[in-house]
Amino acid sequence: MLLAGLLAALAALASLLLTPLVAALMRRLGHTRPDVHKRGQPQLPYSGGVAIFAACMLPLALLAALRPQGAVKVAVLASSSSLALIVGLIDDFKVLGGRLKTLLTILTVVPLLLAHLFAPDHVQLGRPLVPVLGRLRITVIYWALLPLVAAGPANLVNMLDVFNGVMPATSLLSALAMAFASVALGREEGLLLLMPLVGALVGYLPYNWYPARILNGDSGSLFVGAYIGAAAALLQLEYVAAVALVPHVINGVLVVSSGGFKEHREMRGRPTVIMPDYKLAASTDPEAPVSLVRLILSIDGPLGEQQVVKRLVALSGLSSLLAALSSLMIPR
Amino acid sequence: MRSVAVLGLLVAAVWASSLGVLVLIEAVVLRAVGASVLRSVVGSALFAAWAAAWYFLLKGLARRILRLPARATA
Repeated sequence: MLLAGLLAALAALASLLLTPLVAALMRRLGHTRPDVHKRGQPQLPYSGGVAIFAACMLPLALLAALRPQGAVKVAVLASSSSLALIVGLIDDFKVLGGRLKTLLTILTVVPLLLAHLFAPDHVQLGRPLVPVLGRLRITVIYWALLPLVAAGPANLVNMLDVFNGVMPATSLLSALAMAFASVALGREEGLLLLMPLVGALVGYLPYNWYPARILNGDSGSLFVGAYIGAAAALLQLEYVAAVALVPHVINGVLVVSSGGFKEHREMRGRPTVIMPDYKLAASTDPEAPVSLVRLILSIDGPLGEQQVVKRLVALSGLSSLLAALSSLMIPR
Repeated sequence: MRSVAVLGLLVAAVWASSLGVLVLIEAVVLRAVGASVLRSVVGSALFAAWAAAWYFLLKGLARRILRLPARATA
């Protein structure tokens, strides 16, 4: 517990200190994007994911040094999520197509596969823990679904990264639910692997919260999503992670079923429209993609960005609570 | 905050139904089906049917909430 707290504190401190430096660097490189939901659309430094990545890697390196018996899992987690960061950075700087980006994120599964094949004493895949039934043995089916394990959360988190603060806040809640599950199941290694992400997001959130001073970029959302997915696979917490990400899954299903695997910039219409007073309203265009935010705006009427974010975080809080509750139903 | 109530109910329904499928697998499949491979196949098929049902249900619900014609989410 002490080590877990130390890792979280180190990550939070690193994130607090590194994010302004990354923001300054991105500004100097001219790597900025307009914050389209604000009056005047101010240009903000992009690719804040670099700061989250660096803040996670420091405590992970410390963990590997202090607990060499768990170093393989740390290496797999770091390399899987780093691959997602690289894909995100390429997209941030060069803009990949939606389908190509999704395909490239499947690469994040390679470190998991290699570890399972060459270090089976350290990494065992295909035995997810679920409520009621306990440990499943679905080896064959698991292999077929494995590409989705890390790439799925990476893309789902990316698809809901639409407003200031949503990505770090909802991912933080998901990571906390998984950390709770690790404690409930008496598995300290889970807590140790998740605390770097928890700390990094706590330190980063104030910079991305409304009004944001830095934007995450795909590097941020893909890295964080892949981290959650890879950690879930390594800790057999796939079910808990899936429940925590239910709002993301609903959003992903709605977007893909209405618009296909396209980037928002490639889509014909927008799910939301920005009104003259900078409130957001649900699009009435029948051809526009359907998303969770469009449903929220359709039910509640036009809202400010902050109000939409609060609703998304509330839904994520509920799903994370249910995920934590699920972990208590897993037979020991 | 009506949207949080409506969509929160949806989130809870997805979660509760996933637990329901697991209980069904525990109560029926694991007890009635003898062969291990068949248990895996039947259990996974049940879960796949659950996922497919939710996929179509979500599309239908979204269409109703947005008052869209059927093809918009097809």
